[in-house]
Amino acid sequence: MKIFTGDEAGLIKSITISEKSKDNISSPIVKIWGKIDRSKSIQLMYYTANKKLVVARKNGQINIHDPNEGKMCQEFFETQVVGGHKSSARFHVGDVYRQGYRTSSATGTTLTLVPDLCRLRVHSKEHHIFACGGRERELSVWDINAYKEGTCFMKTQKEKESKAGLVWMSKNVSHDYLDLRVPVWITDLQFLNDQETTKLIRIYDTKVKRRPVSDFNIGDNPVVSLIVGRNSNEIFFTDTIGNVFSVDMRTGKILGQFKGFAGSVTSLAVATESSLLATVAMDRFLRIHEIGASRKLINKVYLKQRLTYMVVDESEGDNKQELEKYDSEEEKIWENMEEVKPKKRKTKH
Amino acid sequence: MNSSQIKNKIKREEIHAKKRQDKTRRKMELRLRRRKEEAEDPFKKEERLAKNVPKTLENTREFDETIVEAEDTEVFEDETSDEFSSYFKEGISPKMLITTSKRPSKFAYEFASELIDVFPNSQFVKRGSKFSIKQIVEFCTNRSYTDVMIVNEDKKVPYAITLIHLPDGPTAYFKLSSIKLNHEIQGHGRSSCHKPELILNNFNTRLGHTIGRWLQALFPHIPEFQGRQVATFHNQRDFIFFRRHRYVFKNKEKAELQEIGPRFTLKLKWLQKGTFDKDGEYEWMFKPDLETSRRRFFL
Repeated sequence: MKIFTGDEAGLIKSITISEKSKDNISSPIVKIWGKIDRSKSIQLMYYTANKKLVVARKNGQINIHDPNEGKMCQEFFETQVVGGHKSSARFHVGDVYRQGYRTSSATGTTLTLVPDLCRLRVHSKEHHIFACGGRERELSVWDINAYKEGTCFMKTQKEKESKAGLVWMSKNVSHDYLDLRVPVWITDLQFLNDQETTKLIRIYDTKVKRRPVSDFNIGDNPVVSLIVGRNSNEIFFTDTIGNVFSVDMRTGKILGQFKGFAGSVTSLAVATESSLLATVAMDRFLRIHEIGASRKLINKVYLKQRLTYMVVDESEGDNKQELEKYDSEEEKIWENMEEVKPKKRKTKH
Repeated sequence: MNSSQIKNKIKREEIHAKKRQDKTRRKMELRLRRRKEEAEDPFKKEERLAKNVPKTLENTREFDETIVEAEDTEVFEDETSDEFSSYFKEGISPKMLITTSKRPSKFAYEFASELIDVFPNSQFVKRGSKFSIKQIVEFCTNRSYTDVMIVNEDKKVPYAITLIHLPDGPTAYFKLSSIKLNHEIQGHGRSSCHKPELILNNFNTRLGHTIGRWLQALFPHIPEFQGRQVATFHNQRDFIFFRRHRYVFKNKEKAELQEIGPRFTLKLKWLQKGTFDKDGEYEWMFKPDLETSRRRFFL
């Protein structure tokens, strides 16, 4: 398994971990790319299907790296992002991802947007659809093919007709028991049509209605990031004090907590094949946990910087073949076994 | 036969006393013999002392990969551009505001007045009941303070210190214990207004480095040596002990110390990125499940 991490100092680190046997852990190989420069602090990373690493930095720079040697293939510069607006830097990743994916030149569609967006995500299969949300910005789903020039985000419904491209937009929940408006702050969202705000996780169904289908209030601290687990019933989320929980999406109950974190976990990823959860945190560690019932800490790597983002490349590494081999051996044993026929129960008379 | 199994009490006591006498005599003889040998050959004594190191929690500390080594260029390079670089690189001298929690008692004021004495160029401001910490941070940033220290009090005893570095954080929360004010220390001296020298001990890990650098950045760059005052932050097992002394040269070989108060002990509870915000991201927070062993330390 290969993991790429980004940190505050603007370094990219590639960590290769082989987990052949889970008992004797081989020490991971760490490669460092880049030089320390806090203005180039990494905000977001993305690993494209054609094996390129897209990195968005605080100063508005967007680089596309080769994941094997760390060479920079392409570089964009978004002058609008200069000034270090966190949210806009995050927004542009979705934009540039499309550029890098389709055309080699930096002539993608430009989206103008209102500030205070915190997170944008592109649909994992249909790349022209994306969703975004932020502080006091309701969750909205957009189709980039139908998009025309104009503001990407609007507050009122009336403007909707004039702006093409908006597929769907959520509506805030009804007022609380004091008849006060419930504030909105979307810190992270995931497609599967679920999204999440400060201190609560909301699940939306775009087909049914604009208000959330389910709304769970979890924990005392604000949620930092979240990810969908191996199946769509499981969510992992992290909060500001460094708790990582797994939640059942149907009931909204906490299934369990991953332990060993000292600082806030900024980003997390699931390796589906080997059922591992990888996390990077402000306490400068990369940790790998088992997802199963044990939630055991398998490996941790000290990376010397406050880490901000990570991506996992599962395709690389030798563990896949090993696992297959092991599986086939196991199958042989099963095949060789005799079938035990159920005995007929003797009936007493 | 075991002497404790003898049933006759007088006999039992007799034998036991004899055993003990034998043991002490043997020990005494060994010691005398050793003393004689070592008087002849001083090298032997050195060897024995070098060998005989008691096992303590500190020297049997669990391996910690975050301990910063002298050749670790990445960390040092990172530190040159961190939040305290304005003190170390640009030479901006510290300016601190000290205040208390809301509705403080007499003891908080007394302790705060001693703190003003400790940190040069610090100022006390009464808290009042109106302002939140976030507002205070804003006011202080506008007035170009570099740090804010808040003495928190519970049941009329100061129990914690919130330290905020300005303008971009970080924020730290220390548990405060074993406070002794100047007048409570026997044979204490009076402080002078000279800028003290500073001793920082055992801030070894990456987290410890941050705290150490911060504590250093609370004092002016160049001490006034004619004051002969030293402030010490000594870290032992994650407890940071503060002491202040004045040194006196009795003669060419000997120097003596006179303590100047106050004494107090700090223990880091959490460190947050950015200035104080309850919903902010915590860089490090003490949790009971981190304490896996008595030999694991974080600073």
